[in-house]
Amino acid sequence: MNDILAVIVGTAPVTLALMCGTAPVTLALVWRNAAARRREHADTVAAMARAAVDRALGGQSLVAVTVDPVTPWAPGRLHLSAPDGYRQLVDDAYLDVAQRLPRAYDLVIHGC
Amino acid sequence: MAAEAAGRGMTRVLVAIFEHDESRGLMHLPRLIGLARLQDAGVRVAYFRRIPRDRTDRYDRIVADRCREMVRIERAMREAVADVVRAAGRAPVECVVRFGAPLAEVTREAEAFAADTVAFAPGGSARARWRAWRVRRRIASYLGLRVLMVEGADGGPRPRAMAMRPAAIIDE
Repeated sequence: MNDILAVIVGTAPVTLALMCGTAPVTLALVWRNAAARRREHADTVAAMARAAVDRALGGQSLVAVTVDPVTPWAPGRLHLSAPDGYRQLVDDAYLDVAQRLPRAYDLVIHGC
Repeated sequence: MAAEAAGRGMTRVLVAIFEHDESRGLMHLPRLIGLARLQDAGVRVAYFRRIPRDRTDRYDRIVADRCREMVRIERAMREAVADVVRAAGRAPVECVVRFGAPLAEVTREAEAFAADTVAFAPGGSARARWRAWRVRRRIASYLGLRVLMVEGADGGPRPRAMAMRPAAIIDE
């Protein structure tokens, strides 16, 4: 029993050093994995929004759809924008997008 | 997960105008009202502002206490909203003015109105963007509430104006 305890105590600094050494890499991998999952979900929402816009306007249009993924500190944002003079397209399409938008996302309309 | 569930249509829209963002809020008001009325949603315009201080003259005498100031501010904002809505040719909307901490008041007002959407147009200043972020965070914690924002043309800084010089006329 004492031998086992001695081995554990003897290797503790090595184990601790190994954990501290690999922790940054592990944390970075975990963070990137979570970010990739959020990005993937945002891409799914963007695809849904583009489909909704196309359906509402009867085909491809000048409305641009971009999505900021959900982060731990803020909800996601779905941006609808159109060139100057085509703002009406956004107004026509926003309702269909809003009805399909997940609750975790805010709808942002551009143009002033 | 409830937060991931798809949303529904917007049936009751609270259009929020915040202190220091009055001009931008009023500028986008007709569009926000128009977007809400596209689906016959109920609309309420709410102006949120901190409780004003007493107005004093240069001898520190109170010339208008905060109650009178609140009455004046409320009347001015109601008139401004009515003017903007009238100028845009839209039907009148309900307008309320709430004094207190804007972040708390906006959620309180959304609950009182039973709103499912809070719409606002944050300005481009750092203070406005900070408040917009806090409002978004606060509202995200309320199930069934959603944010509709109107931002600048491209979300970035406004484009610079470009001056063009007329072409020189070359005499033969």
